[in-house]
Amino acid sequence: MIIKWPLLVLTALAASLLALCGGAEWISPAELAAPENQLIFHLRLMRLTTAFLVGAALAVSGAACQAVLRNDLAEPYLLGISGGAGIGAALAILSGLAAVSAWAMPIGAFIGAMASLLAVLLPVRHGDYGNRVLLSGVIIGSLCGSFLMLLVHTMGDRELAGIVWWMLGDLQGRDWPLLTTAGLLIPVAAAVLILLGRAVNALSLGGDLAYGFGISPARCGRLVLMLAALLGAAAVSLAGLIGFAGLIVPHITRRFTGADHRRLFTACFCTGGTFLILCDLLARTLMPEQEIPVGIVTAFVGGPFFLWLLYRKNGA
Amino acid sequence: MQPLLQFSHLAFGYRKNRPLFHDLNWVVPRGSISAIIGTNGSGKSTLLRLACGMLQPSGGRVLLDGTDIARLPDRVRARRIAVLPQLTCRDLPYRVRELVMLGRLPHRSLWQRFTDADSAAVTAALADLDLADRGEDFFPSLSCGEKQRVLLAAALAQEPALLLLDEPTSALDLCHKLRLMALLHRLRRQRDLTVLLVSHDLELMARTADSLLLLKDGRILAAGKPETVVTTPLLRQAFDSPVSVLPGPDGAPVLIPDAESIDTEQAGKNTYFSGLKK
Repeated sequence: MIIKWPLLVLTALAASLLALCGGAEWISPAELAAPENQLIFHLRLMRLTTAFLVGAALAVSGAACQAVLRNDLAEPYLLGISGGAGIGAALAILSGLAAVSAWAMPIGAFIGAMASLLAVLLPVRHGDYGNRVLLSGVIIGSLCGSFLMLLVHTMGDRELAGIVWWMLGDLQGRDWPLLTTAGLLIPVAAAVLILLGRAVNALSLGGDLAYGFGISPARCGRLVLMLAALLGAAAVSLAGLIGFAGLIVPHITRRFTGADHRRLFTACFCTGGTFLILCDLLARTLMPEQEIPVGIVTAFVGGPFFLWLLYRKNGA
Repeated sequence: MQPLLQFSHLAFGYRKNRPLFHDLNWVVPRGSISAIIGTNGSGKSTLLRLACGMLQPSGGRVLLDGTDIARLPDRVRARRIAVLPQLTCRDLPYRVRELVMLGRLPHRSLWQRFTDADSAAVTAALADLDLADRGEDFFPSLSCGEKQRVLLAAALAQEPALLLLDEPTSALDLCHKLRLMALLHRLRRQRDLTVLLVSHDLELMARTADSLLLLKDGRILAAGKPETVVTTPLLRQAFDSPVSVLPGPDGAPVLIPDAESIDTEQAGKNTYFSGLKK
């Protein structure tokens, strides 16, 4: 199947419009422009932007991880990013910095995510990516998980509520400067990955073939993984832990783009963003007067849909 | 003939205390077809990986046209040397033409568009490998032999000076085996292509290669023209097998295992054959 780019952009725009109007209360586009609704418009726009950026970052990151590690199950969180980010965020809350600045938790999560990624890549030599990185990621992830639970164990009730909400995905934008920083970082990292798309094509064939085509699996593979981790860490710092988006969106998108990673990364940026905008819309509207953490919605929506795709593929 | 590839005092080992190669010297002449033969684990594929710089020697150097290949930038090296790794029947989610086009990567920077010249090189490589009408097929839908030909087409699309092939005929039928060897000879004539390949097909190599390198446990047992390497005493020594080399109808060597080597009584004593006894 060939991807239709205008259709992709139109879908993203339609989803954005729906997300601006939808929520606890439906507000039509005309009403949204009214001065008394400016605050709601402002909050929903910030939330929409956060959802798009996080979804795009997770999807592109997942597609890059799956290519370099040559594993369909690979996604940024499997590289130990979530565990490290969790520790960073928890430490920001426990130290009291999160109460002082809105930047403390995102920065803490980012530092934690990048530190755990370095620990994951440390034992990997000679571009031997694949199972070794995944195993290393799982081990570092579970170590971080245990340490995070220890930190959570020592938290008070108020701090606990903050970290639990964050661990289930929280798309409430904090402030525009933070969003602007991520809004620069995420598209730039995604653009570099799109530029590296052909090299990623070669890497996805395996180290020996990539080497033969003049692409160093060690250097280029590490660069792609670092960019993927950067995107994952940026997403985690903005919105906490949102599973499934990095796993399923690339798989679904690949069915329309084929395996060429320049097309796949570009399309994933759009489909990932749209997917999370729609999931967030569901999270805000499914239960009246109560918001569900978006991570729960992505799992509920994404999981069965992915299974359905797999069954349909096997049956075909 | 001028050497294109030269192994000079090469030393290498996967473990520090167990060197595989020690002071190995050998040259591959420009425009020749050379084959490395030997037992499993004798170092054939390792030597090929050292030849393309995928592995770094612990001592000595590998020279391409007099330049240490360790010093060549990746893309420059890939424009001169193409590699076909051992076939593992992997499923790569690309169409045949997309995959072969990756062979043009060394000729363009990552942000440059492929040109008509790239397209022409890919078309020619596909035609050379009898895949002209398979360009739109999905790689996973191909047979193992066809996959091997597609990867070989990608290597040819690189338009290299040196082609390194690791068991390129392992999954090919008789027809495509012979066609491949004929193609390599044609490319050698037309492009002055140098080919270094690893193979277990001793008869085919004796018939089609210009020179052979016989390895045993990382040591060179013999090197030179096929008729000086494929001999009964050398093969018996290399393979520890009772095999005789006889001249075929056209004078090319034919390998005949001695009768006692497949004697059922003998086989019964050998644990390797014990499964067959039942």
